[in-house]
Amino acid sequence: MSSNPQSHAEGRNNNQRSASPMPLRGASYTMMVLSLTELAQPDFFPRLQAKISQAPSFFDGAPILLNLEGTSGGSASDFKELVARLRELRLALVGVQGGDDAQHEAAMDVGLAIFPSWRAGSRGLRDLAMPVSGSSSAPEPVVEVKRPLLIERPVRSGTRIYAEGTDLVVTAPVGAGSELLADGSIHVYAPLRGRALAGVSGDTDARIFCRHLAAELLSIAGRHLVNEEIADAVLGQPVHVRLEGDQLLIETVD
Amino acid sequence: MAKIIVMTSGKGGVGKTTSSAAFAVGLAKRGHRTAVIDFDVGLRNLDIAMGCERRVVYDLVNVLNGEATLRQALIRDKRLENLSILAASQTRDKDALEIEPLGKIFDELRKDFDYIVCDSPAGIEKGAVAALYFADEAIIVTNPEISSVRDSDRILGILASKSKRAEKGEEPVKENLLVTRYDPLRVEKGEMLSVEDVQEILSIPLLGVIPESEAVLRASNIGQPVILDGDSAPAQAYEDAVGRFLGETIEHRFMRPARRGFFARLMGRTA
Repeated sequence: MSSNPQSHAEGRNNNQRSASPMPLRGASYTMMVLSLTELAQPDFFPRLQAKISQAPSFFDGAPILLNLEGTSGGSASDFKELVARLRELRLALVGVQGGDDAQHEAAMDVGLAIFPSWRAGSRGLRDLAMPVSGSSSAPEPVVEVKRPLLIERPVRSGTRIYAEGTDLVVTAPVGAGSELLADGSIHVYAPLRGRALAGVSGDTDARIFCRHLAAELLSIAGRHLVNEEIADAVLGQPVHVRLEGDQLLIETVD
Repeated sequence: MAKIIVMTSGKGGVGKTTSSAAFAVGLAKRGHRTAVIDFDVGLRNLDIAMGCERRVVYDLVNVLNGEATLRQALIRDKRLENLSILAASQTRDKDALEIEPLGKIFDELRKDFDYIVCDSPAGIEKGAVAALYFADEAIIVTNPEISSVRDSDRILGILASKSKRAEKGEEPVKENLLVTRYDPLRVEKGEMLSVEDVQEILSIPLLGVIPESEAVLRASNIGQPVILDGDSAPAQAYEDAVGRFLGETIEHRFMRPARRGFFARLMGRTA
C-alpha cells in the first residue's frame, strides 16, 4: 500500500477556474493507493487484514484508490465485488487511477471516480507510514507537518527563543526576564512569567495559551499588553489569549 | 571520579563564599579529598572565609600563567589535612581566566581530589562563566527575594547553554538549590518569599535551607567556616545539605519558625 499525496481535486479545480463560477472549492487529501497487480496475489486479503489489525483506528473508514496501471480487463461487476470486499474491512474504495478506457467505463458504472495518473514531477507513491505499536523505527509522517518548536526544559531568565515560521510549545516554566517569540501561536504548559510574543511576522490569528498567566508582556501581531495592564482576574489563571479586532482578549480556560 | 561543583548565583552578596567554605569543609570532614577554588579574581574573599589569608603565596592566576605549579599554590587547611584552598589573585582581573589553561588545572586537580568546589564571582560575565564551565554539579545559592531568584534563573540559563557539558551535548550539569539567609518569621509575615515560592519559580531540586543567623557573620569575622560552629543553626543546616548532596535522605529543617521558649522570647533572642 502507498499513499498519494497529490491533490486531485485541486487539479480539476484549476482546469475549470475560468469556465465555472460554481461554488466548488479545492481541497487536498492524502489517500491510500492499492495496486491491482498486488491485489491479484493469492494471499492479498489476509495480508491486508493483518496490516489493518496493527492499527485498526488508522484504517477505519479510510478512502482507497485503486491503481490499474499495467493491467487490463475487469467488468463493472468485478469492481462492484471489490468495493464490497473492501467495505467488509471498513475501507472505502473511492476511485481508480491509470488503466484503459474500458476499465474507466466499468469503474464509472459502479460510481467510482477516475483519478489522473501521476504527472511528471509529482512525487508519486511513497511507502505508507502508519502508527504501529511496538515498532522500533519511527514512521515517516503521511503528510508533511511543520512541527512546532518544542522546548521541554525551563526557559531561564535572559533566554530568547524564536519559533520561526511555526508554533512554539513549552512544557516547562518560562522565567521572568525571558522572551518567547513565534511566527505562529505560543503554548506554555507551565507558568508563563516572561514575555510572550506570538504572530511576530504579523499573523493576527496567532494565539497564546498558558497554564498560569504571570507574563511580563503579551503580544499578538504587534498588539501588546504589559503585566500592569492585565486584569487581576486572569493573572495566575490558565488562559487563552487572542486578538479581537485591535484588542487582546484574555479568557480563562479550564 | 572527581566531581567539580560550582557554587553560583548571578547576584552578589547572597552567600556563595560562605557556602563554598562550608561545603568544602563539610565534604572534607566526611573524609573526601577536597579542594576549594576562589574564582573571584580581583575581589578575593574565600581565603578570609577559610582563615588562610595570611598564608597566600601563589594564586590561581599564577598557576594559569605558569608562574607557579598547582602544588605550590594549593594551601593546606590547618584544621583538615584533606582540604586545600586555591586563592584568587587580588591584583589581576577576570580576563586572566582563560578556559583552556583552566582545563589543564582541572585535569590535574581531578587526579588528587574527590571534590573540587568552585566559588563563583557574582555576575554572568567571564569570571562566572569560567567558574561554571567545567562543572559536573551546580549549587545555586539564592536568597528568598525576587531579584535574587531572577538572577538565579539567569545563571541556570547560562549553565544550560555555556557550560562544557552543554557545549559538548553531554548530560546536563546537575542543578541543586540552596536557599540562604532564610527567615521563617519574615516569610510568615509575607516579607520574604517562601522556599516553596522559590522552588516553584526555579523548578530545581532543593538541597537545603540555611537560616539567617548572626553565626554566619561571626564565623566570617574569625575566618572559620560556619559549618564548624557546632551548635549553630546554619552549621547544622549546612551539614544536612552536604549529607543530601552525597545522597543521604535527611528531612529539611529550619523552614518553620522555631518554637521559642518563654525565656528566649522574653530576652528577644533569635538563635
